[in-house]
Amino acid sequence: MIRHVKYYYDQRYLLKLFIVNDLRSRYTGSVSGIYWSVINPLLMILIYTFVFSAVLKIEFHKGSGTLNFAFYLICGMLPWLSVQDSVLRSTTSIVENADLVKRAKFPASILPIHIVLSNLLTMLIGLALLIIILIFTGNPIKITILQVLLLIVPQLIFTLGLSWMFSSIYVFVRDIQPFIGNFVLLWMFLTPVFYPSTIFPQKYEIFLILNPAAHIVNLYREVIMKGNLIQPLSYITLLIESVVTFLAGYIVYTKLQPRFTDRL
Amino acid sequence: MNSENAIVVRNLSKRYRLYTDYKYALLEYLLLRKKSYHTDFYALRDISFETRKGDVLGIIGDNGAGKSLLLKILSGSVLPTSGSVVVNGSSSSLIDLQSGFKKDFTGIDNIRMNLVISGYGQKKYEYLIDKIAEFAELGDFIRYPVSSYSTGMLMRLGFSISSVLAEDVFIVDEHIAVGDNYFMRKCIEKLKELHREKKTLVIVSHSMHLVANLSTKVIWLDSGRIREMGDPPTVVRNYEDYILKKENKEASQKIQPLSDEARILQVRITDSSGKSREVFDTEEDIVVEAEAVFHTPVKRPVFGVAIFKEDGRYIYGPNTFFDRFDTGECEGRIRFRILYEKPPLLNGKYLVSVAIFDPEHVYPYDFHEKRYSFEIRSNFLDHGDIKINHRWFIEKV
Repeated sequence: MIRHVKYYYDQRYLLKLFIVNDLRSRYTGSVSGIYWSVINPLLMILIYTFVFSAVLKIEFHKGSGTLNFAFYLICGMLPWLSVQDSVLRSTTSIVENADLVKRAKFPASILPIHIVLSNLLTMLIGLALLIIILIFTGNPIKITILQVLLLIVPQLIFTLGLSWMFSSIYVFVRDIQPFIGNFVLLWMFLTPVFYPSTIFPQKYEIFLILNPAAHIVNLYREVIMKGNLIQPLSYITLLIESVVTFLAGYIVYTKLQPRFTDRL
Repeated sequence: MNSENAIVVRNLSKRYRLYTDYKYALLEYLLLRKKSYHTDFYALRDISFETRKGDVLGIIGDNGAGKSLLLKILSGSVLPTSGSVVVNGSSSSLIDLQSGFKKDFTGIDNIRMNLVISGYGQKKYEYLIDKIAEFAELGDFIRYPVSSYSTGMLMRLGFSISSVLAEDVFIVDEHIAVGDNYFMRKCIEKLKELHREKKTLVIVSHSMHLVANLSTKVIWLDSGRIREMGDPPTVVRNYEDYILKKENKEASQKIQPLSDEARILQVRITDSSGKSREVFDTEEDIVVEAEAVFHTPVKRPVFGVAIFKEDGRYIYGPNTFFDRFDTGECEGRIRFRILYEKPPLLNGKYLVSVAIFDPEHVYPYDFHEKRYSFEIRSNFLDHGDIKINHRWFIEKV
């Protein structure tokens, strides 16, 4: 394992190259290229804020304020979109770059990894913007916000595990792509992105506990929106789930990787 | 392992499991291989060889003989099923660069990517980027995504990267034939330079000329096995003989009457005294004589006899139509003859086509394409296709 960490450390320039190109390619053809990574989430935040606070006027509870609902929504959506986009795009990444993967020294795992990292970066930019807007709209930001750094770790290893698993299985079983598409859709509704977890039916609560994305979304909201301390139980559950997913993804990937070239 | 050896291959085999549909592979896997749904195909079988440092190994053989696969195994992009491959030192390979670009990256970023994959750190490589870009001669295109490149440009970039990165062993596929003449010559110069620097080269090519000229050792692969291995002139000559025989066999197998008026019955190649010969000297008279039968009377049919170099290049093809030779009215069995006076042909093997056409020289009644052959063996060592009589002059001015 340590050997592998060193391996990826050695690949850091390659990773940088891929992430920069990935961020750039999302807005291909645009002059300002990489600056869109900032402008795009900013526009998203503004649009959601406008729609939910000025047009739809949705509140959680009476008097909690419409502006808050928009921020609350965005705070959960940013991490969710990061996970969702990582998983969806990673799945096909190895097959799409078959020519590269066939090359002797090319580390195929960099393909899902750079997508995950690139998405993580996009999310962090979005969250930073959100926090700045929160400060400007008079919301108190406490030092507890630094706990975000603690959340990144399980989110990263969870997404990485899932991306490794799907991307390597997809090489052999192409049928999983439509399945994953629908699975992610269902997953999104089982995750409290568009609703607070408090309205989730009590008897199905197990779905929330077993769903790492639910923990991730909830914890980000707790830390950023409410300025609370991380709930240890939720965090530990998330950590365990993430590590299990990561190991599973890692094992599947390393088992299948030597046979990629025969199937690409 | 002897440290003088650059590449050592022992009992290498590559087996592919062929499934009619991939679902059978899945089924087989799920049934824990209790039941077999595949047929085995050995793309390479029992290959053993070694090359010393500084060797240039040429690999020749028909399409599908396993040449490219062997290169892929040598460069490590395909794992062998059994046997061992040891490559001493770091290798760089052209084949996997050919298609191994990230299409949405610019030329520069692709160079960067390849440098990093090959283990160059961030700092060391800035000057290498310039060196590669300069060799590739892509101009401003180097700053555009490679998806906008032509095949030739990709090849230039690929060759430039891999040849600059070639540290100990450089593996080249026949793709170098993709470039234009100018770049191809540049590539060959670069290969010679690498050879002078005592780097080990492995070259697959259909150009026997290239292989014979550059290699120090040649392997002839036939259906996944080594058919012959040894010094380049011998192996290349034997391979060329084999190709020639195969072509002749194929040609004689596909005798299809083109139309019914006339048939070529037999063809002989003789010297001026009428004796059948296979080997001639340069500038020795050569006679091609053919017997034919005309089933219906034809006024002034056209006879043609053409000479080709063995690689198929057309050397000369006179016919009675252009020569305004009156063949008269032909009916029944006839014999026609062409005398090549003192042909200035140089050493090598030649193929002969014989044909009978309709009087307007529009369609052939019968066409024996490259079915006959002769060889020129002479003391002229001059290069080229033909001998042109010449004299030298020198004077003080």
